[in-house]
Amino acid sequence: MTCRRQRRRRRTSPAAPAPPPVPPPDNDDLIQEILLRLSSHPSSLPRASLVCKQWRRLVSDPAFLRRFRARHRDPPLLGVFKDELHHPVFRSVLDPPDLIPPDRFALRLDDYRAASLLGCRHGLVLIFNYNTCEFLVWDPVSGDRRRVAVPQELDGGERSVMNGAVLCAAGDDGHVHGGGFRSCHFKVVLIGASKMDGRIFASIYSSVTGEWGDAIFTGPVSTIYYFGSPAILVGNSLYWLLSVWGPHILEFNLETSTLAVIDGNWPQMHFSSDCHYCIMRGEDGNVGLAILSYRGFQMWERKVTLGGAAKWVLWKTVKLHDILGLSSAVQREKTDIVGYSEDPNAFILVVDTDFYMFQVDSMQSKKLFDCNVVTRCHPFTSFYTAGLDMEHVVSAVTGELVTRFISYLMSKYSRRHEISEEKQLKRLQQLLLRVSMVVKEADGRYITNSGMLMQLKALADAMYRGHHVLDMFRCRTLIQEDPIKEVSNPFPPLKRFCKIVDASGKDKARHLELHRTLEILETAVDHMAEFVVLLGGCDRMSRRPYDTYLYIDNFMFGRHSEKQRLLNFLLEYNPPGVQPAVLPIIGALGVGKKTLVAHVCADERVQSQFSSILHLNEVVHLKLVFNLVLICASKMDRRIFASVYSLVTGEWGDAIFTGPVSTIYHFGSPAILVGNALYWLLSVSGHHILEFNLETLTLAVTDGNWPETNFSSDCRYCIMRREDDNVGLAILSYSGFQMWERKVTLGGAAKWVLRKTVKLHGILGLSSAVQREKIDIVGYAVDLNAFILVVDMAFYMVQVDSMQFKKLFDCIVITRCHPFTSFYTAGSPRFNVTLA
Amino acid sequence: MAAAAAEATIDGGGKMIILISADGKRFEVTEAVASQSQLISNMIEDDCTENGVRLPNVDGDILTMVVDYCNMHAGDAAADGDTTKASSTEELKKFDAELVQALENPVLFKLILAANFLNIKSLLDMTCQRVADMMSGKTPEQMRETFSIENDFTPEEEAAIRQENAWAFDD
Repeated sequence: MTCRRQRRRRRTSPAAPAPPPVPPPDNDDLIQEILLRLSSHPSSLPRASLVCKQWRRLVSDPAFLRRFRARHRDPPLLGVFKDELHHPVFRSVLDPPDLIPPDRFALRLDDYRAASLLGCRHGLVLIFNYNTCEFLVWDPVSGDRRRVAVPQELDGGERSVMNGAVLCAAGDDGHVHGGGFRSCHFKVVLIGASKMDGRIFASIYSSVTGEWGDAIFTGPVSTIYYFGSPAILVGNSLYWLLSVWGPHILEFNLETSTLAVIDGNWPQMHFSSDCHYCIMRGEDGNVGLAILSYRGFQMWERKVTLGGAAKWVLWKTVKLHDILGLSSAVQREKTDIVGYSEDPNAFILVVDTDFYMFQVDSMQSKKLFDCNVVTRCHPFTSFYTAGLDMEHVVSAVTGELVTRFISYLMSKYSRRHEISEEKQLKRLQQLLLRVSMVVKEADGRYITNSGMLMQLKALADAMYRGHHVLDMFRCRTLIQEDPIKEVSNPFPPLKRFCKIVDASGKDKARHLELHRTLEILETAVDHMAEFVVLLGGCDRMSRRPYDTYLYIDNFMFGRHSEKQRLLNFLLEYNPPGVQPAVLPIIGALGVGKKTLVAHVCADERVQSQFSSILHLNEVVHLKLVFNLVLICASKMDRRIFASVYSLVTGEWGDAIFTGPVSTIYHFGSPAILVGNALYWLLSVSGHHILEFNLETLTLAVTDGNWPETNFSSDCRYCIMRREDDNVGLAILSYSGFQMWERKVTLGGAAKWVLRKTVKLHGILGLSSAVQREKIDIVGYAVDLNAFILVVDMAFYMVQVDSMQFKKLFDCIVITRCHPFTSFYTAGSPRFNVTLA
Repeated sequence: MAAAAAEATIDGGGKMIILISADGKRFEVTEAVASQSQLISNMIEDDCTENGVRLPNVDGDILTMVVDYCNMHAGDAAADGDTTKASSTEELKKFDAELVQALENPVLFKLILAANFLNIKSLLDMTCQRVADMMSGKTPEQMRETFSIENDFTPEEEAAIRQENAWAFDD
């Protein structure tokens, strides 16, 4: 109302000599013309929208936003998404007021902990969730997101997803990206590996049709290590840098739908392992290669001649300290390329702990921020038009809700009505039979898919629950036939009863429990179909040659649900200060009470939680100790800290800090436990060892004083356990192993002593023609003191003490292996301990 | 007199056209200069410029600026690939920059209205850009002040909008 009156007043004013300042002409078209020319900085439109209602209406008009994006064409670089522990964390590269805070672009999805950030393009972010095997396409500005499930024929069995890229479905001609999924369709390109025939394949998902296209294969390739970079889009092709013992480039032509590995013919000069590589956009739609050494950039361009032959041509040479305005004292280990954006053609570099952006075309650089956690950065460009066109955000959210609701309905069985208890019990038995069949089968197979492991765990849990309920009912019928007056309790003052016995009195609760368990089991069975199919693709465990440390003699058959109960009881949280709980185990003579307790106590989880287990007159006293150690990096003050989670208190302990450290790259290895200390190999521009002493609760980075010889970047490193609980370092070069031991003298000084030198082809029984690039250490088992090595595509286990080796298996996908030792007591639930 | 002026020619060629501002001032320009305005260009095509073109929406001082601008830019549309014009592109840019820098509202807004009415794309673009530049880096309050716009949001509405993108209002 006020607005209209005001406008009418203004309409009369232009001819009259109004005193300055004067409002702009009251003409929607003209004001839009002006607002269109506002800068594309993210704060422009939000600010203009707060001036008055008329402006807000104009700025919120979708047609205006389309014109705004079209006029500016190139969206500004808002910031980078850093891949921090599988969470995309946004860091703005702009200054206030254009500095968008990280929580504005925070992805609030709990189940994306096993997710990987694959890249950003056209204002979209692509994330892959390994657990659920689905892509998530996210438009951070509009908030739109869509899950794209990967069909079984593309991930499962012999095929697995390795990487992917997202891009706007519309071509580049005249279309402007952004504005959410309603105005912008997208494509997801999936890159996977087919293990059987050693080929890489691609498949395209289109949000227009909602379907995945057929798989497009390369010819057979050699071993696939990992993807060295996110995809870049040059012209009509997507490129990835592959690390297949030396870099290769994977090219996917979107126009012709062809996939090929481009290799050979690399630029000859300076291709040493001291350098960092990144593919980039060259001139004229050619793919380029940037080589960063301590001296600076060399940029090469791949030129394809008319005849189809390709050659690399040096395009640009840039001195690093010139562009970054640094002193020339940049150490070569301390620079790296952590991100690249093809549009604008810019690199994200890290020098020490400073992040820089270097624009290739303008040759300008800008310091972005300081962060001592150096991880890959995915530059994110988009127009900030959020909070302006709200209606379509709402519609996108409801759209997703509807599709999820429908799939929920479809997956659900028709609701069962009240059925008699007897029928329910029968149904329970049938379901249990089915589930336990699958669980037993799964236990006998080698499952690598983490999602499947989680489902197996859920299945096993449901199975134990079902068995327990079944037992409860059986127990009740027994009690009713032969009533026991009082539960024999050797410790009357302790009020805690076990639920197994306690439940016998409560009919209603039991009935509810039965009902609930049935529901859980039914859901589990519903979801079992794909699990079973996938299971068929998993190899049987018994065929594995390295399973010799499984103790077949120690199998315990039956009594899984009781065992699970006991485990739950023991692992349960016990508040300190309260008298310890007691669990009576009652049974007839010789029925296996002691065996049961012995097996429970042998469980790794129980052992890890109690410092000692004493058998006193068949009563087990247990003392709880800690079980989790969390190592984190504190970004503010450049320190690493550890915190210990204790089950006694149920709380995290105080953070224990190291002194300030230089850049934290990443953890080069999983922890190894030697004596009373945990060790990690850190890659802090060169290698360091992080030591956490569990006894004294001290955390320190031990560095310097490395063994002098052969410490070149051609070698592979791994920390290991040496005699006398010293930490050791294994250096694997093409000639073989060197094993060093860190001796601490009485005075406290440490020095490295060479302990063993092993010729590799000697131990592996290989011909001497092992190429040095083709070996790597992919795992280490502390208990066995054994390395997992990979040579070409074959995995070997080498036991240090006995110097024996064993070939494990062949696998084309080489990732870190975590040796797993445990007693195999069949039916015991699988578990994962995840360090956050 | 008007008829005589309209038929007069200058050595460059083309007919002369008389533009008449709201306050009766008359401007004599060549057809090439005047036809940068899409409005006048259409009128020339329709042959209705004999008695001069009355522009009731444009003041004399504003029309002076428009004519100056059109005179300066008359060449670039006609003689594009001309080598002699290449050197003057710099000059032209300088002229535009000076013209636009000197502008303040209300003259700037009047010029926008005139450019819009006469439909001169390049002038409209330049002047709108100038206003947009004046807005850059300003907070909503400063923008309201600069352009004397009344805040018609209720405090609650304003707070809610601010909340959406609180970071954008930090200085």
